[in-house]
Amino acid sequence: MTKTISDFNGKERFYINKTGLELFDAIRAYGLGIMISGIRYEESEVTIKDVGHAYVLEVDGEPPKEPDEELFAGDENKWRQIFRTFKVRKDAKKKHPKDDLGEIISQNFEKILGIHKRADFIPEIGKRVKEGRTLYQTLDVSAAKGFREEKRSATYHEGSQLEVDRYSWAIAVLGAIHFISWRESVDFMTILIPNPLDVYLLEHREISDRLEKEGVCRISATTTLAHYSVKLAIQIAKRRKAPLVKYDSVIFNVMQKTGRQPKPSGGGKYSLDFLEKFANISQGVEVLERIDRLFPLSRQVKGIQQDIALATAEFLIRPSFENFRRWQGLYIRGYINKKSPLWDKSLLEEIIKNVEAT
Amino acid sequence: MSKLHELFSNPAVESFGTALRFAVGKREYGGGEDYASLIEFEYAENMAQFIDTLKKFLRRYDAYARRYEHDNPGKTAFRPNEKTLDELVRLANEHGVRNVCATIISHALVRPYKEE
Repeated sequence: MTKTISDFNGKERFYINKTGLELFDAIRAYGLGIMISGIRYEESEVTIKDVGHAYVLEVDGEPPKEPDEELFAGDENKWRQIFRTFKVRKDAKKKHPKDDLGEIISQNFEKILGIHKRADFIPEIGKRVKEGRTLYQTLDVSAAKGFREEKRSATYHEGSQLEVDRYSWAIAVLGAIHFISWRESVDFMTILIPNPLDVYLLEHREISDRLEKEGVCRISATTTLAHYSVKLAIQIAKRRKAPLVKYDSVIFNVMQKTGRQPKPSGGGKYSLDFLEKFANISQGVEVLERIDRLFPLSRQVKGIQQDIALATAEFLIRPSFENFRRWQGLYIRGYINKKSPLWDKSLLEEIIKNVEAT
Repeated sequence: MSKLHELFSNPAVESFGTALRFAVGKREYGGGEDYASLIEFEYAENMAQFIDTLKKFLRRYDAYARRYEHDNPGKTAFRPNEKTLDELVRLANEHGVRNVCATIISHALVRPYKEE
């Protein structure tokens, strides 16, 4: 049998070339991964690696010939959240994106796999793409109209939708449905997903399912991001002896709720370097669990506990001396008011080790 | 290892941090309710302010310790000794006032050993 370029150490390789839309790129990688491994049988073992310009998927075992029907099930809430900007009109000829997705994947399963075996396939993105689909802001906030077009001109216009080729759209939606963590508060929505540096998909699914069951602090988008990252770091620390997953950052998109459609608010990548330092030490789980308890899950929490949660999030995102001072200043006031317990010396020491002095 | 960690491991810093923890605690739990010293440690920027903060803190702490011993006959209050004071001034000269103050406050967040 002749080997193709996609054969590598007996493993078949698939490529997701990056477009610069960070969330869109990551969910396409996860989406293609779940499309190959399936949900029910998990016959093929898929590993996703971030190689800089692209994500490379290595598949151990024969990729399936048709999609697993379970791919189109998933949590109904997630479908609603992702397509929340889609309006159902009685007279519209357009299908609901969920039905559209099922059709695209079922009818073009092998074609989608085929184009992603090519290392040079780049998604087609633009104002008008032949048979393209709308790139919703829930798939990447940078795709939102308000982000890309100047509005302050002589005549106001709504801006134009961004479209993407239907194959890339379909795998992105699959990835979003099965892997993004959607955290909503009264006035904002946060979409979170860990960036797969070197991830065994089956293990990632287990971590992702576990994180979905846990609540995160939704006082602000920053506390949501920091708390989610702490919970992710706990999962990594617990698997320290047999690591099958390696993430380098958490990709986040934030949308602001308004009376009408949600508006783009921001996004980026939060590096896990600081939290990973704890994940790699013997007391790592303890330190991280202690930090985890600084984030209240209830939205009713006010006063010093709320201030501590905000300061903790700021410190975790930027572990500078000034943020540490602010955090400990609030924490000691929490202790005085009997709201915050004292620290074990060894645990606090581990945190201080990683704070740079002035 | 960071400079802050080096300071945190120093017995003189630990000694003053422990004293600060006792000093800021609520009176009903045996503390001194000395919030002024906490704020002064937080805002000390230079050597003169630091020495002034230490002086005031030790004076207030001495009053607190005597009151504690009076209210709890037979018990001796924890007191930082003179050697640690000298060491603290040396550390502030060497590593900077803000770093030393930050680690003293950090030690005030540490759970006491059983014998304390």
